[in-house]
Amino acid sequence: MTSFSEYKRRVDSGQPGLEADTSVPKDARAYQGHRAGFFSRSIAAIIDLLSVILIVVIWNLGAAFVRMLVEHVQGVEIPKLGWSVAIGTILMWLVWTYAWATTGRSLGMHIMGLRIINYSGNRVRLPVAALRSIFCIVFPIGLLWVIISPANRSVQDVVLRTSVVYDWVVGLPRICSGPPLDTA
Amino acid sequence: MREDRGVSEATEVIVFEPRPGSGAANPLGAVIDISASAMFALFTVAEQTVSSTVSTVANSALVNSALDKVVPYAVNAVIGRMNLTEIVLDRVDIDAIVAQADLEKIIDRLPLIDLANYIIEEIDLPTIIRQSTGGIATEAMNSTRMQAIDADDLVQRLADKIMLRRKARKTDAPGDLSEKFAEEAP
Repeated sequence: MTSFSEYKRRVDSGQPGLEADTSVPKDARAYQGHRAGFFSRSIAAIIDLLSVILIVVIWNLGAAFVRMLVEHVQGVEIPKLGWSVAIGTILMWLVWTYAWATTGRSLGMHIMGLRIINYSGNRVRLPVAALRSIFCIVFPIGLLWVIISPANRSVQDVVLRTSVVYDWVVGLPRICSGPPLDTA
Repeated sequence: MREDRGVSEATEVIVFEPRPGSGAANPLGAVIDISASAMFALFTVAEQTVSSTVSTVANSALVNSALDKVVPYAVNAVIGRMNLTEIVLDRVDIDAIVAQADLEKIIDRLPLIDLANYIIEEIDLPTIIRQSTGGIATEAMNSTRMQAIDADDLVQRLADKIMLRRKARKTDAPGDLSEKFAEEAP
């Protein structure tokens, strides 16, 4: 147990006192901020893929239903697989690009507690996110390099100088010593 | 009385006044009275002379400087031989002192925000909040994540073993995320 005087010394010396990192369960704190392994990243990618497939299926069903109502087509016509794949690919690219460039994590990565950061540990920029997204779609096998890499990096990470890290931190409100809010 | 540069001089006037009628009636009594008055006067003069001398000596710069050097040593020597804590605990009513203390001023001096953050950290309030509000979904997600991390470790160990790699993987990522938990790194 840290005494208050030790805590105060730590805070006064500029080290973090209470940080959002306390939102991370104690078992996972040892992994926080370290590059993630193959399994977590694969699961995250599969969740993203399945979510996009689900969206495409719902889109197709919706489109078929509208056609049935408007054009009075008998039964539900399923569009060609090629179109669905193309739409899914574009959707996947857009979803990953937007997610990585904004929050640094897609739905699958959020579920698995992962985040993409750049070479300086910050959020990746939009062009890098877009490029990485294309790279991942075109060359998904690049993820296998995580197994071999001594630093848990995929081919995409090596080329674009990015990292996928464990990040379970959830932003929690903390008590600030700033001026009180003007409630008048 | 006159004072000049710390030195005082006193002048006493002694007046012998036999009690009226006592001398004629009893000459011996008159002598005793006069003697007693004389003794009293002498004692008074002696006392005032001594106190004046002591005061003069005490006020002199030499004595003061000597006292300044000697007194701290003497007091320290005395205090060193005493258990002040025990004496204070025995003889001082601390509750009475505390009862009269202005607590608001003390509270004003306390770093309350730091104290609050310290307590939040020590009792792991976020975990309590998480456990009380997270519910089954959060628990399931955390469990899934931990299992995935275990699987990651397993895959890494297998791969390292197959590749005969002896060095541990360098999984530190740039930025604050890894520095924040550097002391807890696996």
